Amino acid sequence: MKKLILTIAAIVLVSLPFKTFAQSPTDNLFEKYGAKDGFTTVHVTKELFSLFAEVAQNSEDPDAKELQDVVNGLDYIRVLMYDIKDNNDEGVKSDPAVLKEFKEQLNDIQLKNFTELMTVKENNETVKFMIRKEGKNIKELLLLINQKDEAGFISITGNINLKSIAKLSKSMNIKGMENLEKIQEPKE
Amino acid sequence: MNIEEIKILTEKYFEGLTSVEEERQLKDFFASGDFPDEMKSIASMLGYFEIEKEVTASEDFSHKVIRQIEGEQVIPYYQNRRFWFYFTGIAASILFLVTFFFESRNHLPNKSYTAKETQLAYLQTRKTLAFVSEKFNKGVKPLNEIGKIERNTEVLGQISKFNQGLTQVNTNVLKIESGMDDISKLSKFNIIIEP
Amino acid sequence: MTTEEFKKRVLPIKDKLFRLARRILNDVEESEDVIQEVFYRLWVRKEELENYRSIEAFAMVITKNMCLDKIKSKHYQKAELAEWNAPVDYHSPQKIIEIKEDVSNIHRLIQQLPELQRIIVQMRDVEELEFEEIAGILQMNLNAIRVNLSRARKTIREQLIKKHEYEY
Repeated sequence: MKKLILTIAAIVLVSLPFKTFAQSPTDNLFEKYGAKDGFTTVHVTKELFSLFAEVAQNSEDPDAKELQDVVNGLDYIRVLMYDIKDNNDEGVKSDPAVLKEFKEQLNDIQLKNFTELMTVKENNETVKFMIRKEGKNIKELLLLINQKDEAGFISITGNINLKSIAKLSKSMNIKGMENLEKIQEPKE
Repeated sequence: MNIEEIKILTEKYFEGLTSVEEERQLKDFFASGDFPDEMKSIASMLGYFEIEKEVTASEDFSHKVIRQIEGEQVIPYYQNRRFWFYFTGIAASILFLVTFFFESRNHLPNKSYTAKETQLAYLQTRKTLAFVSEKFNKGVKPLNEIGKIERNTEVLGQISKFNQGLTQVNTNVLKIESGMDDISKLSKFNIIIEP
Repeated sequence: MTTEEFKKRVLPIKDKLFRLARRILNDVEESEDVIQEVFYRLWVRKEELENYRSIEAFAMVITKNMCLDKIKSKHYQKAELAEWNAPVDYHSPQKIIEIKEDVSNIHRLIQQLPELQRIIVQMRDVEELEFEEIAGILQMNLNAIRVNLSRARKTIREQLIKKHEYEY
């Protein structure tokens, strides 16, 4: 019976018009939770990456080149996180039940084509690095993030170069970035 | 143990003639990472066995077994489990079909992005990749460098800090008034801090 | 044996049994099902357990038989070779990516060995049981075990070398 359903699914898939669309096992999760209250999301696509060169030029950001190196050849970056500590000023109530359900869903993600690269554990936070390879190339880097009050994932797809990702934080001026985000909007 | 003795033991190993203690010696030797390239195969094999030794059943399962013993709950046999397996498999297939169908209809043609959106995307990307990079480097740090943690990397390293920062980025940039000024405003921000 | 004694003496072997089942069946969920059943049987027999020289060996026999039965039964579908994930952080001076690939290959190679060889490798190389113990569980003579073990180890080595040659 299960085979029958899957066969039908396969036939339908083949007959539908070919479309390139996001192809990560996290897609379902992203669509399901992305619009919900309390979830932090990021979805940056190829088209946006190509516009970065211009932003970088105008911003005197010293790390722009490193960033560009990483970002070239990426298809997209997606982030989905949920945090039950009240961290915004909009008074949105965060729900432990939602976090629990979300964590379960994170656990259920179909990781058939992935291998675990490593897991980084620090004080009750776990970040699992998974990669999906096609031949020698890494096509998706997936970080599964788990902490007591927060959970989520970061999905990076495209042509991924771990070396250039590693180089980023080594040269990056992290302190500078903190100040960037603290800037209040300039009064007109 | 010198390398000659190791080579002899290795040959014995493949004949199935080593004792448990001798196998332990081999495992310890290769665990140090200090061996000639041609012995990579046996090193990987023994490394694999060491890792496999640590495998445990999941916590949930362990609790299940304990509960069964304590009589609180006798878990039904696997026939039931198989039913749910098929059921959710079918449900998932149908859901997948439906989602796929809608997904391929919802795709928008190439749109152009406002300056605000680009800026937001830039900051988000920067922050996210910085986090990924830090975590990655923490993970691959060679053993002998533990203890030399640079203070800078602590800034984003925690998941909650990363998430907070990301939320802040999302909130702040959206507050900036839209218009052609946005990109030039970015250049006025004092990004370079280090004296 | 009382409940408390059972929990103290028998429960701890669950992981060893789980590892054995997983080695044979190549599937985590199926393995958990089997171990659940094994513990049920052990529990039901808990009074008699005192009579066994090695409860662990006895449990392994039950586990092995149940797994092999499952494989033979009509309901069993050949489990897809599950992706192997390192269960612990594996620190090594070498690049993590390389090690992971090699070790992941080994898992696949072992799972492709015939069941008997897999079981012996699991018992000796992973669980470090003496030949006599293995002989008792499998009801085989010592030499047969040694021969199978040697065969298995050599096969893994050959396949690994082949793979390295192919890559370089």
